[in-house]
Amino acid sequence: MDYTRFATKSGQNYIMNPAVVSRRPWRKLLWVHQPYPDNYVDASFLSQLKRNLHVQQYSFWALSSDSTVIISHVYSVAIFVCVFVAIYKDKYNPAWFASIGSFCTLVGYFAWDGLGKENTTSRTTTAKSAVLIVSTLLGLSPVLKSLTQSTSSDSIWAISFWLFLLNIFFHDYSIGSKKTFPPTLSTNLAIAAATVLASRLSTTLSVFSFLLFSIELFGLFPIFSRWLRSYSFVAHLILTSILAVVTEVGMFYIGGWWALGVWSVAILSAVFVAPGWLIALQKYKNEIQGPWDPAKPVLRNR
Amino acid sequence: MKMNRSPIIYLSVILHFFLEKNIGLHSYKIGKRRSNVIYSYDEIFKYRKRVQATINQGAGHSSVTRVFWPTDCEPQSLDPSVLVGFRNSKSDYVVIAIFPGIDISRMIETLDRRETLEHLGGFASLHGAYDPSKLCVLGTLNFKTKHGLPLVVEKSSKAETPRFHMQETSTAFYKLNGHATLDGDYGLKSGSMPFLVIFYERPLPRRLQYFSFMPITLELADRSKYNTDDEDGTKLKRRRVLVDQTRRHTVFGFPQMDRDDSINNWINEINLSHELGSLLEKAVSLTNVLPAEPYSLKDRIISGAKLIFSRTGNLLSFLWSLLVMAVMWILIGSLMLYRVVSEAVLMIIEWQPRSSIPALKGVSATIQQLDLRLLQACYWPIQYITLRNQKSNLFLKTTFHPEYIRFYNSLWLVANDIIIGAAFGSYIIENRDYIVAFVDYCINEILTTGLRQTIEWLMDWPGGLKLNNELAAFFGELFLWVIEFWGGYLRIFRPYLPDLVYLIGLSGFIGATFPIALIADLISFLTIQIYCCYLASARICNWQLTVLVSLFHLFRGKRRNVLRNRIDSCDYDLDQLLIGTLLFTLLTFLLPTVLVFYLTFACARLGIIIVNAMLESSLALLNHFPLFAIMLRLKDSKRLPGGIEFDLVERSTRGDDSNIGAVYVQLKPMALPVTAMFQQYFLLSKRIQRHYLSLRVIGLLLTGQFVPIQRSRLYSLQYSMLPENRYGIWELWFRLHEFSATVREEVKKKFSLIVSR
Repeated sequence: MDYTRFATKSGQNYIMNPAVVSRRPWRKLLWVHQPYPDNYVDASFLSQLKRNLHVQQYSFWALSSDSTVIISHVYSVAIFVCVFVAIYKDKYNPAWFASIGSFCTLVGYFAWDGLGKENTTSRTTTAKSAVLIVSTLLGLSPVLKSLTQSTSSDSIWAISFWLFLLNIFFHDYSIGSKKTFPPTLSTNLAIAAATVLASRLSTTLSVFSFLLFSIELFGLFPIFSRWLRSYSFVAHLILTSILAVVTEVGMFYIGGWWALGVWSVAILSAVFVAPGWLIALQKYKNEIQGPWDPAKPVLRNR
Repeated sequence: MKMNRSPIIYLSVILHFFLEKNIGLHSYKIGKRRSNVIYSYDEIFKYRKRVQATINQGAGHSSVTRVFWPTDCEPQSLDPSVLVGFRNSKSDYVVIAIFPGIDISRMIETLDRRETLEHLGGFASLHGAYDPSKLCVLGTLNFKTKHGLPLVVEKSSKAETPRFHMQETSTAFYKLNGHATLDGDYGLKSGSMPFLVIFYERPLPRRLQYFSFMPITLELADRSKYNTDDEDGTKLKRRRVLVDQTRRHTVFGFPQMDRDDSINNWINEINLSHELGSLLEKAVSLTNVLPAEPYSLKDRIISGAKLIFSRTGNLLSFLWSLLVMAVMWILIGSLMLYRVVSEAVLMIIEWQPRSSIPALKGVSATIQQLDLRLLQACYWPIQYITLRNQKSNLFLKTTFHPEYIRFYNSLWLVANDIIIGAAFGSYIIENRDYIVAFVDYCINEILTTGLRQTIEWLMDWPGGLKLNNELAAFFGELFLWVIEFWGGYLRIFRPYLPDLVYLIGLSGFIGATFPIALIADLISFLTIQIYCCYLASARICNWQLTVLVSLFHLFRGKRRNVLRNRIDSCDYDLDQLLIGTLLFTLLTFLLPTVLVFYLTFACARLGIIIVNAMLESSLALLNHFPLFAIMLRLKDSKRLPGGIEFDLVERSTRGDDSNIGAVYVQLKPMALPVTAMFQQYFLLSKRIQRHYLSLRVIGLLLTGQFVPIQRSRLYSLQYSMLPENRYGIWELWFRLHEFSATVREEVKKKFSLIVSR
């Protein structure tokens, strides 16, 4: 490339040979007046370019085990849907689900309380809020039962589908977070979806049991599972496998062999195929860094 | 070159002069082209800038000799005549009268003997209206002989415009006029100045014509400016302060002239011209009369007969004036009685137990109308006395004229109101059966059955909207109960309906405004149930929307920070979140039901408000229409001056000994524009538009918030002809007492005359 040939302002062309005209070397400084034209590009211009500086290599098993965090939340949504279908079709007594859920919640609470909790809420406060929620649910159940009577079921399914989808997207999947509560929005979306679905049920008892179950599943279970995740990852894996078994059974009862097959394929591909695919795609990574990038402020961690 | 430039220069000088005062240039005309009417300060400032360049061109001629020439009293013949007028300065003359065929010396003698002038009838009323030292003989018209007067006018034929010359002002002029103030300015060569002749037609004071620099205001002065509580009023006030400040700093380099008031001075002199001219004519003819001859026999007989008659005449006139006084006392007594009664009624009407509770007149249109009429009737005696006191004084004529228009306008409007009302009332009484049947139909079919059907429709999924059945049923039954309840009361009221319609018809005989106001009140009364339903549903809707908004913030994990007026993120407790979300979902699904009921009643209420607003605007038309002013405008537009304008008549470059010519300009009064007469209506409509047809109001309506009806703003038009605070009882008493003093004096005088004989 011939960088020395350029036009002056007066329109004359002339050759500038570095061997003939000895000048100071070009420096990459904007504010210094240098004997070079404005559009001059030195050979050393891109010498400080760096590529793929921060790219790290993933290990397949690490990725695969981390994906169980997402999978476990998807499992809880799936269990919830199964329970709804079961109650909606009057296959099972709704009180059973509420009792099983409450039992699991109690077990989880005592495990969490016994094995070293970090928060400061006392047991009486917890009990108070539990009583408050249960009584509110009891009061609102008859109203909720008739809430969407005039709306067609299709719109309700569509609304709850979108709400659950958003819930899965907005859920907090971080590991070892110090937050005691999951992000507000995802919990609210799930509760709203549960309320909308509950309004399709026919009896007050089923509405109440279903809502109680959903509050336990979406309000309390994420706290427990996050705590368990940070407490011991193996325990988390065990919990996930229990959830997996429960979901598979639920799927079989609700949809038969066909639903079970589709569901298992989807979950297996999420756990094993997707991480492999991600690793395979790593070779296309092309990051460019250089001194022209804006400096990153270093904040002292307090 | 100079010839072509001079007219432009003179015109620019005229403009300069009138632009000197920042406001008040309302219109000017050059040739056939009329410029825009300039009203606002901004436009005038812009305009000044543009004109300044022209004025700078003509800077060489900083001064002209101005002569005001009355075209209507030019003599028919071409006889030599004397010009009398005001001499404001050495280059500033206002000719007020032209006397043909009179000696200069006799005219001066007449003017000198001022006391004879003062004795001539109305001359005393002119006292203080002008500066007597300025009134003098100014010059001559078509005089052959030489004299010392400054103004020399020649006119060779009737149709021709008079030509003006200036004579060297000599000491003789001052001596002739008898007030030689040797201030040194007479030695100047004023003859070299160019002439600016301004023709005008003298306004006739007998016909109440006059010139005015500013357009006359039909509203009361303290009302027409602005209300300080109004936001546009405060804006206007701030702007006025700003303009005053800029004026003080003289943004444009105009030379400050000491005759700041001269334009008003001239207009005053022009307004006086006809009166003074006719008085002077009388005075001149009196000085002509020879001293009386000694009494002849015939005269003695006549005077003896007069004496005999005068005795009985005196007695008769004493009795007559006694009768007048008795009638006046009865009148005064009844006026005072009426005033006391009306004061009591007004106090009841305007009584407000607390500021939150509206006064009686704010509730009912009829009582509002009664209040207006009572206030008007309280103001009339005061207005009449003021008019009577000022009528004798010519000087105050310009100030009292708007008052005169106001007084007669309100009288006319009341008369008009009664005439229309009588027709309207008798029409109502004649068609009573039809009206009763119609009102019956409205009550039964629309207000009861129609409403019930609407609500039943709303309860049953209206228009395919999926409402919550239970809530719709609850609302529906609630509102149905209210409607049935009121319907029961209306059934009790039903037998009295014919009598009520008859009463409305009868009330037409005290003015058409009363039946209209009664109808407006009747509509309000019959639709109370709609108002109640509207109020309840609006409350519920607004409450629900407020809750929904705050729960939506909770749903997103945010909350409203009232202290900083912003949305903060917030960590809620789990139970708060759960209950909040449950309620949010619940209320979202219930919202359409509430909204549908609310909107139905809001629309019904809006319809009623529109009907009432139409009735009340017809009330405003009947109460405030500038009927008298429009009549005056059609009859004689000079009685409603809206400023002055100048027309370029002719330019003549033929001067006397110098090359400098003269510009002839016609001064014309401008009639008050019709838009100015209806200014209050424009203001009101603008205000209504801003308050009721804005997005803000639609937003308020949709969110179920109360849309305030500012009756006081709506009624500001009605009261704009009345003073802010009504005159008290004592004030009226003193005024009446003072007013009757002249009659009492006369009676006393006549009584003493009789007693002395």
